[in-house]
Amino acid sequence: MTAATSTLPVSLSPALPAASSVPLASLQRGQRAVIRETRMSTDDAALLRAMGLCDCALITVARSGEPCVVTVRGVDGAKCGCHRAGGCRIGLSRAMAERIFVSVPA
Amino acid sequence: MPTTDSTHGNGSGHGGGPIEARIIALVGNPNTGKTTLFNRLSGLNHKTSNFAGTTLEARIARVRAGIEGGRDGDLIDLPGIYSLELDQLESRVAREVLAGTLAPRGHAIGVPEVVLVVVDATNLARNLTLVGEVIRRRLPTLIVVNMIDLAQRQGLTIDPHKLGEALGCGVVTSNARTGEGLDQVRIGIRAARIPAPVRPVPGDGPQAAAAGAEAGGGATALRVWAEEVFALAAADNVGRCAKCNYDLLGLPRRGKCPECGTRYFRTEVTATEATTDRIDRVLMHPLLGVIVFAAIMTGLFWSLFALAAYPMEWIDGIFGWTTGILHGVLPEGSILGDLLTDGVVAGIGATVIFLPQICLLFFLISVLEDTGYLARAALLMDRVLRPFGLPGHAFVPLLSSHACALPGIMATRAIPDRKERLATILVAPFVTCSARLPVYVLLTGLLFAGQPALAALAFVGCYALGIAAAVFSALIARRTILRGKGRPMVMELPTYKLPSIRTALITTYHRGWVFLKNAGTNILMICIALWWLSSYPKVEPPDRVNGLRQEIVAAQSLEQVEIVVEDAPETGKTASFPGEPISGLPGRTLVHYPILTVEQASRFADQLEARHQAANSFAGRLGKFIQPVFEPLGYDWQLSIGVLSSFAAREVFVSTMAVVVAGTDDAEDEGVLAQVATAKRDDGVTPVFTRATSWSLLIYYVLAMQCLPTLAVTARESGSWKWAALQLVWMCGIAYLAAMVVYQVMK
Repeated sequence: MTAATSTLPVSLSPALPAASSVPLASLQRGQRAVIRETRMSTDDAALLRAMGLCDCALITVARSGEPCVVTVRGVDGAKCGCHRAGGCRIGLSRAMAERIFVSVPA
Repeated sequence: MPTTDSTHGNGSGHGGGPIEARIIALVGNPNTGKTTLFNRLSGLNHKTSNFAGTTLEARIARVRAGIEGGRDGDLIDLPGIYSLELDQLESRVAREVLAGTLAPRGHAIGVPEVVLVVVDATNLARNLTLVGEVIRRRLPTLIVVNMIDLAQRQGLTIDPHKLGEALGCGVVTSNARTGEGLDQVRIGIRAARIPAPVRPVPGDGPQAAAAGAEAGGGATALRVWAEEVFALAAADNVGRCAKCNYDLLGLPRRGKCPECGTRYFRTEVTATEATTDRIDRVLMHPLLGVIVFAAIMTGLFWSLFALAAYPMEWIDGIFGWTTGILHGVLPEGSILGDLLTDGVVAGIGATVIFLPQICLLFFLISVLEDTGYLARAALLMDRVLRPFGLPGHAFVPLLSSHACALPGIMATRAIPDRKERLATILVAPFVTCSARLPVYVLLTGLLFAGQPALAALAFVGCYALGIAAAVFSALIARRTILRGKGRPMVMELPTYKLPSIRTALITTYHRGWVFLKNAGTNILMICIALWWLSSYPKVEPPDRVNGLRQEIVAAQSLEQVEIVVEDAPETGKTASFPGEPISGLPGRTLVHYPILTVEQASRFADQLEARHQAANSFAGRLGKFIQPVFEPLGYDWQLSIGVLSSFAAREVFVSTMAVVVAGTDDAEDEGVLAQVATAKRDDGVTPVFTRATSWSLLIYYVLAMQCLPTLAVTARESGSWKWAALQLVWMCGIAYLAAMVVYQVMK
């Protein structure tokens, strides 16, 4: 069995300016994005990171609105194995989604 | 390490054998099947306690080594955590246990000899970040890749050897649900070694401490490391048959595998995830989701009533039968006999009768949780509860409190924010628990005799009132003493799975046992105390009873079947009896009853005697003393006794009223219930349960805090008796005011 070296679904240069990030809450279902920053208390941010929503994490929006549900799979910049499988699903209140800033590929 | 004799200072606190047990720590993310694995490794034999100095639950089990030279281990189940470095209680406890500075209460502390990290094969990359953090601690480690079957179905193959090479430690795969891989786990525990990853974990080594790491960057670096390890070990088998791995390249998108015949369907997004996504579109739909939620909750409660009724009847029967046997065996009127039957057996019975409902509710909640639905429900409920200052996480504790507040309050441990947790603990007992139901049944039966539909509606109204009181009290608390913003909600949503009945049964068994121990000891003591208070001091039967008995004896000797009873209500007391008085005009001192059989008269005498005893017992005197407090609510001294005794345990109300009014606590007897319903107050005319009084009582029982075990658990979980005191004062205050208003309005 050979490890597949599928290309990343999204390819971004890591040094995007923060100005182009938008709140996660503004995305629609099906959109993909990369997490750039979180503007919330240190404890909440640490928990989000530990759950998988760290900087440069790749997410897909499964449900927008209240609550917001995203699937997290992979990290921008890591050589990845299989990105057609695995990952987790995280539900957030809208208040939380408004404080997470992401960048959307063109 | 040489084996040491347990008597020579191993201080482990269990009277174990001569071989010193070592600590095996079990860590992992939530939702990885860690609990299932723990259950499998431990059988049913685990002890539950707390981690010393916290209210966090610790499960610990002895795991047999099973081979020559191996040593038994104490497997300690640490709480599920996303990271060891977080500032929350669970992470802190895990850190300290791994460092050897904390252990479950009663267990010796020590650095774990082996750390078992359970990871979810379907979410391996994220789980590996925790593995990285554990590796940094340099303890012998074994990685258990669980749910390997699910990953396979999702199109992912994890090679444990490659993963082991990349991490430099043992890796086994398992499916804890079916028990596959367990033997490998046991072997792996024995062979565990300190990991030596090919690519070092970021943050490991001297530079890490110095950096203090800009937290964000550190997390991302760790995640990148994890992704790289994942890439080494995982292979995509989406293009292959899930069963036999036959390469399906070039074949149409849908079809049957030429090798083994299983159907396949290739999609961009894996099938399992697509299914979860599709189900979520319904279950989290703004309208449909709420409807489904309401339907599931209704089903839950319906089954609680419908299904639990049968075992409750059996239990009632068994306890009644036991009491009967004891009465037959033990001498009449002996103190021990009465203590056993009316105190001990009644006390145990009063607790055990609720076991079916509580176990059933826990079973159903466990099943729902296992499917993954509860996480969605909590997220949905967050929107509803948040305006009241409660988080979505409060949903399951409040739900559990509908069976019994005891385990409900213990379940608040899942709530991350301290103030939100306290608020939930304070208000959880408002919600209608099983113990209130016998009282509801009695009172709605009185109020709506012959109108079952209205009675059922009143029932539902009581539930609604309890919930409303809970959420509005939470709102007030969160605006005054527990002010705070509250945390925005974030929750991992596991993929939908078929629930494991085995896990649910094991959980139910353990939770039911905890309930029995906690509630049982309290309620038993209270019932014994109540028995004593209502049986002593012993008083002589009043003259009219003696007179009546003499008449009965005379009638029997004359072989008369019927007698006429004349009753002289000299001290204002009149007994109620089925049948109308023939003459009973105010001002007349004699009340004639219709002709009774000797047997009926005999029972009547018994009841008069018992009522006299009840009225003059300590409980009775206390009731009369307290009665003025309840005057505005419309309760007389008999009801005051009932309400007072309910303070110990609510369900005791019905049997207490039966004893006070009818002289027997056999509340199942239709005749007795009828007597309670038609009981009269001291003036001989007004019923004890007037319409207004019944409403007032009902409202009081919905809202009042009348459960000593709950107060004890509140004090324990909140860390201070002042919260329990607040709960008592607040709930009884609201109940008093509401009952008073209702009575004054309706009388």
